[in-house]
Amino acid sequence: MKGRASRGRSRSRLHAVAAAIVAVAMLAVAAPASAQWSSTATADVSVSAGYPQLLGGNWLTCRGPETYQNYVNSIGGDFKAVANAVPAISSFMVYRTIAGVTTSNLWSTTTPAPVNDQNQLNYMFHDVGGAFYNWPPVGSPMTVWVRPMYQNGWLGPASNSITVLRASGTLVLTCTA
Amino acid sequence: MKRVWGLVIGAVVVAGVGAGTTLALWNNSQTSGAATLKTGVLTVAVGGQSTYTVGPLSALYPGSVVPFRFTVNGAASGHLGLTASMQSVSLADPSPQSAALFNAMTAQLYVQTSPSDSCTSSATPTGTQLYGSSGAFAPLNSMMTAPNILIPVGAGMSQPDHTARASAYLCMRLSLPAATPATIGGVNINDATTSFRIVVTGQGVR
Repeated sequence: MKGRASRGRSRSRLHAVAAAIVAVAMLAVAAPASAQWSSTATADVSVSAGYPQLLGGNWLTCRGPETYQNYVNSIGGDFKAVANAVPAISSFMVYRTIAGVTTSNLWSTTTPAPVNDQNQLNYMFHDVGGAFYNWPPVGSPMTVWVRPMYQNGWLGPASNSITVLRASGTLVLTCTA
Repeated sequence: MKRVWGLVIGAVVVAGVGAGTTLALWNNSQTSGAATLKTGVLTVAVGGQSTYTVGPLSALYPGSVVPFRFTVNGAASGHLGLTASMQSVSLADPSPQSAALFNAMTAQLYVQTSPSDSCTSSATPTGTQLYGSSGAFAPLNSMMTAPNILIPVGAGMSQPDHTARASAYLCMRLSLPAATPATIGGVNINDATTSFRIVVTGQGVR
């Protein structure tokens, strides 16, 4: 009886080993059947950061001479503020190029008025009292353009430019689109 | 015990053959009836092309949303099924400005049922959101490390010619958070341009 039981256990072990071997063999043969084919394609995306153009960019104009603040010979480049622009404009950066050298200044660091009034014009070369400033030297054309300023220091696209020419102590303005 | 070792060796040999090695211990042959060997071809494309160009997109500023669509097309013949996934997103232009803008951007991705489904800057797209959740945006640069985004491509192996053809209509929207400053880490991104590559992988399965 003992010998028969021993042979039985031995046979069981043999069956288990054989079953394991068959399983390994089946896995080995079956592995290629689960192979996959693959193919790739790509999308190349490019994107630029910046605000959209305002009014087609043509919002810088020339004015004068005309009466302004009771000053009869008021002459200056100015621009219409875009009060209803979305997103809202907080100010402008004004750029001036004379003889190839460009400088820039913030239009206003305090109140945006009258920038925020669509019906007002902003004179770039004199203050409300009629005092002129930002004149170019006599005979040196000055090219001027502006960029709207948004929150967190973002600047919008540049406007068109105007050329200011001072001759014999007066300002003669010509505009370019 | 000898039989056990014999079986073990035999199994190792079978496993070796199955794994593609050329271990030939036995040599035997039989003639079988005519068999049909089926081959399969799998193609995947974006917008019908292997390399699809999007952009240049513009008007990306703090608080804005810039949408674009692209379609993943796939075909798998030879009784293959088809799956597709967004395998990777990588920065193509590594310049400091490009990288700063890329790292500031957020994105969301939707799969839609039709190319005419809404995909605009003003409204949450229709369809199923694959990236981002609950209609929200998630950092674009996290797509670089996200696991494969499975793109449901629909049809299986039911085509009469045994070729699975399917398309997935995707709507991706890019954004900059409203508080994004013009200068990040000393790099001005005001007029920066960035470019990145999306890799889509199609897989034929049986």
